[in-house]
Amino acid sequence: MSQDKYRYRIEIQQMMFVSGETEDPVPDTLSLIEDIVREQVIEIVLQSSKTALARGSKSISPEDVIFLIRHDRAKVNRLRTYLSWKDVRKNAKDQEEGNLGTGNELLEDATTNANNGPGGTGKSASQNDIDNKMKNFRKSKIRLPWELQFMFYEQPMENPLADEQDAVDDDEKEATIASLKRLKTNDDRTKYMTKEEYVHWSECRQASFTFRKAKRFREWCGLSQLTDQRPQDDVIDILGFLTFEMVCSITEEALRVKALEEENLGDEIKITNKKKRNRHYLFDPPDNSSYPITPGHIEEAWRRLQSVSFEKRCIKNFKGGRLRSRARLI
Amino acid sequence: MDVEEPVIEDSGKSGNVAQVGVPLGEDKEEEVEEEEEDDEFNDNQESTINDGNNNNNINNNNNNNNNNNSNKGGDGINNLAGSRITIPELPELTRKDKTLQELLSMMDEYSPIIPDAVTDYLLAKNGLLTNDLQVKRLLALATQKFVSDIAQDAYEYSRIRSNTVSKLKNNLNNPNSGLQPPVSSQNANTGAMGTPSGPGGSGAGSNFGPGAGGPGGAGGSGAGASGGAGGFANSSTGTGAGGGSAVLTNEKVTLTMDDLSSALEEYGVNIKRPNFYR
Repeated sequence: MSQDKYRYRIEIQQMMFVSGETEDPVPDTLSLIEDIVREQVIEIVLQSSKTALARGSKSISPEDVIFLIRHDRAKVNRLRTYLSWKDVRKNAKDQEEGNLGTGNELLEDATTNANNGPGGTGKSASQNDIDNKMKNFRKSKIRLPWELQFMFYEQPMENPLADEQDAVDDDEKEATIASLKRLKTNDDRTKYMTKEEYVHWSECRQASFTFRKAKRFREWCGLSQLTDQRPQDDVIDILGFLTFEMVCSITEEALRVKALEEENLGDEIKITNKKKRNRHYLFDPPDNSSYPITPGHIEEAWRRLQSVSFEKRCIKNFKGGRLRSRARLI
Repeated sequence: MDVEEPVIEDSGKSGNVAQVGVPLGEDKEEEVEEEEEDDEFNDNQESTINDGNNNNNINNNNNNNNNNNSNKGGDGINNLAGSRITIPELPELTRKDKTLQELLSMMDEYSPIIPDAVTDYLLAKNGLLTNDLQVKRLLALATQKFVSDIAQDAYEYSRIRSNTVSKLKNNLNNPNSGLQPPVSSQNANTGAMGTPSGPGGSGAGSNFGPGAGGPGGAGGSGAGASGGAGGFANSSTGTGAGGGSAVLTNEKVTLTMDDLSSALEEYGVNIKRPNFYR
């Protein structure tokens, strides 16, 4: 039974290694994290199917999933970039496969341009159009229905040129700060690696719950039991992205917990070390300096990530007490 | 009235203290508002950038490089490896925090939606007696923020329920048949190569001249892979004013109990009706 239950040990181990854990974590920790992630995935699917149902559609669309994490703007922004790049890749592959198709495309292109008449760009040069297309694939963003601009009935005319000079809004600021931090930590982690180690590390970064194992993922979280209709592939991809984030964030939090614990216990350990360890023997137990995260650390990290935010506590007049809220997504 | 009198005096005094040059009288309020806007603007400008100057310089250089690249038509990789590592422009990342004192002094000019009298009443009722107008207004502002947060959450729920984006798109792409099930924006993005089918697409293009016609033409070269879902998200929202307004203006966004209860659920308050009443 337990063999069946935990199917992602290797992936989780790789993800934890990416976010700073040692390379061989305790099996208990892995299973605990896997349980947590599965619970979160189930939560996501349930909540998003709720909003999908409110809209009247049975299958979950990507917006429903993004809606759940909408308060974490940096993450939403990164998810958008991720999805848009996925589009680019998909389109590039399509174009490579169907070289014949492009010929037809260009023909149609010319005709549509003709149809547009004076309204069209006038540049019917096909190369130009392809360039435009590639640019637009990168630029094309997912529009989220709860964005500010949709509060108004009249939508502004969008100038394609104005899009190029992307205005830096709050979202992007937040995303940039987050990505800078992320780059910095990654840099710190890989600074002292040898070439082989770095190659291994970057291979581990590709670990995913869903990539090329969508079927396993569906079985693992019991997707068919959760929703009637099979969700779109994009949803699965988003879930893959989010699960990676979950493992990373909980590992980082657990590492922080561990560091704090070491800080508190540090003095005692040092004293005992001084007394005992004047000499090293062959059959000494290994040094305490680096030991993997224990399930206790994960539990503490989970508790911290689940703590209700300050703004939401004010509804109880800051008196404390248990707030009945659903699990927070990490 | 007893309560209100010191209020007015207070604001008068502090207003004088804060801005020396403000003439008293009827013009005062307008002046104050202008000043406030100026303040906000200044705040943006003053915001600190980490090594802002350096980065700007680097960025300028980068731009030059890029221009050169595009002129030559060479690939950027060689250039990258050869000359320098491109550092993206650091936008204004941090805004200088306001001190409490600044915030409090702003309260003189700002009047929260909750009237002062109501704040006074509620504070008195709960046993807080203070003549400090600034503190009272700050409390009122905090309350306003709290309520507006919940309202905004409820609004977001109503939006995801109605999903305006896909409606806009549907309406644009095939205005004749509104029967198509809602296409998610993601789908429309991937299917961006579809033709702007028939009269709908081309009509929108010609209505809006070169501005809207540009992206429509670019995206119009269809493999026809995704049926009627054509055009980019950008272009469709851009022309939405023409095609989608008929549907949009009909429905007014109202705060419903469903949305509110889902929003409050996040705050740990359960006001849902039991299931058997539905």
